[in-house]
Amino acid sequence: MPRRPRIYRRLPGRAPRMFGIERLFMGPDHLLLVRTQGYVESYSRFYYRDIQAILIRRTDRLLVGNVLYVLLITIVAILWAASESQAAKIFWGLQTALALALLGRHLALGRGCACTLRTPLQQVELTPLRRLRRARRALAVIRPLVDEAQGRLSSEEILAHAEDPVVTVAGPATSPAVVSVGPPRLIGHDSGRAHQLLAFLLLLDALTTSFQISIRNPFLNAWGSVLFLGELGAALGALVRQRNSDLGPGLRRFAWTSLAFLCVLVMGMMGAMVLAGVRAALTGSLASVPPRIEVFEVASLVGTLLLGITGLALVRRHRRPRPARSQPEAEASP
Amino acid sequence: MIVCTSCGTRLPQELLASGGPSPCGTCGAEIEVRIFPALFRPFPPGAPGEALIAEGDPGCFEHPRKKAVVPCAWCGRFLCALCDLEFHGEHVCPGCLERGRAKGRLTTLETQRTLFDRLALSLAILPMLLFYFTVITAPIALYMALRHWNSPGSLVSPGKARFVAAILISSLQIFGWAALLVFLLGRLRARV
Repeated sequence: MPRRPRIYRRLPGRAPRMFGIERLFMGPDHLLLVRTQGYVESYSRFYYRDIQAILIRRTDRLLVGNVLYVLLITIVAILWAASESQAAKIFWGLQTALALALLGRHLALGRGCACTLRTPLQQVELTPLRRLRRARRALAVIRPLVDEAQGRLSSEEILAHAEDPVVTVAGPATSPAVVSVGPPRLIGHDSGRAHQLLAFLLLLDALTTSFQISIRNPFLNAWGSVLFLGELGAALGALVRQRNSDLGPGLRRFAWTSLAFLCVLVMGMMGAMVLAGVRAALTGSLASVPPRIEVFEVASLVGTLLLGITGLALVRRHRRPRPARSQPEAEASP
Repeated sequence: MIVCTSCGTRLPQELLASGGPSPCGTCGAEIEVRIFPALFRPFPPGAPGEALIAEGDPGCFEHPRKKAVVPCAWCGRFLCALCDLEFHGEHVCPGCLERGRAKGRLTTLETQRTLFDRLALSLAILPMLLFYFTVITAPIALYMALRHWNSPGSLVSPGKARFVAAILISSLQIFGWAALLVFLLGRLRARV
């Protein structure tokens, strides 16, 4: 039986999905985005002659991943150091090694990005290309094929075309090139009040935690729990407010980092409780093995203090009057 | 109009022309844009089809009052400008295109495929973790592999290797169960 020739060549990158994966392939006249979900493959084709633009936007994937991995490593390393039995030491040692290996892989993959492909009818994010190096490598392979199908534009030609009001700016209302992608989102001004509230709550939490470390009081613990819930709410509120707003990337990152920090903190504390429960079950007495939450209290104090100060500084910087942007000047100049 | 994929505002022309990474004027996200000529290509307007003028002019099969401009490359029916669809350099009618898509003859119009080869292989391998299930799953895997031998597999990794593996593994399982049954029957007979 003659072997069927492969017509698709795989491009670097893959995006894991719930029960599936997304991959990108290069065909003779089109790009193929393959979504495998269980035992079904779905295909999206983007013909080289129709590709209008490819946009690569840098994201904070590397930074966020680094923070999360470092927190994870810290937690498992603490648990490794705190464990007394040989079996627990081996278990947590393996977990630490695994977390270190994951961090190494994450660092090796490099900076994150969001790669978007635009055609006359749609704008699609190419999820397999979420790392800058991979996206550039893929683009270097795709670009000659698109150039071959469409020709090449110089910078001067792009500027000349972009200034042409007939085709791009004031094109006919029925032109799918303008209409189908959808109107641009409206960007509203946000004073950063939600972020400021989050920063204040974080600082208040740091103050409460500093008292909690020295004074053991049930009312203080209850107040700390209420404060924690308030911080979670404020972080979510800040994330909602920053959508379609003019808030800078620093403040956006602050909201995400605060939420991630709070989640990791609560997960770590729950892990410590579970571990203490397991150890108590093994030793037969709960009183003999108290959960070691002092470590988390110290981590919480340092983290909330740093995040609170950073948040306030970022809000202040955001509210400072900015000099006029250079964009209108550039547009005005010939 | 190219917009920032982070904040949705229009990107300045200088950023589009630069090709290198530049910050968005509104949200500050670093973006690099590769522009291709298709962005500036005007979208071709759709033709409504000309009305028949003379008595002897050929009319469209679907719209008899419209003038036929081209015959369908697959069925030969006359098509007006409205019905004429260009598909890989050929002029075809919507009916042929739809029939071809429904029957799976046009690979380039396929948007989904079921991977029967992977399903058969999974049915052959995964139940081995709980060995007793293989008495049911092995015949199903074998049937599935044989039934769908000619069904189109993955578009990006074609081949019958998974089907072959599923047939081999499920056959071995069936053979194993049969051997066990024969052995047990033999022992039962010996006792009787």
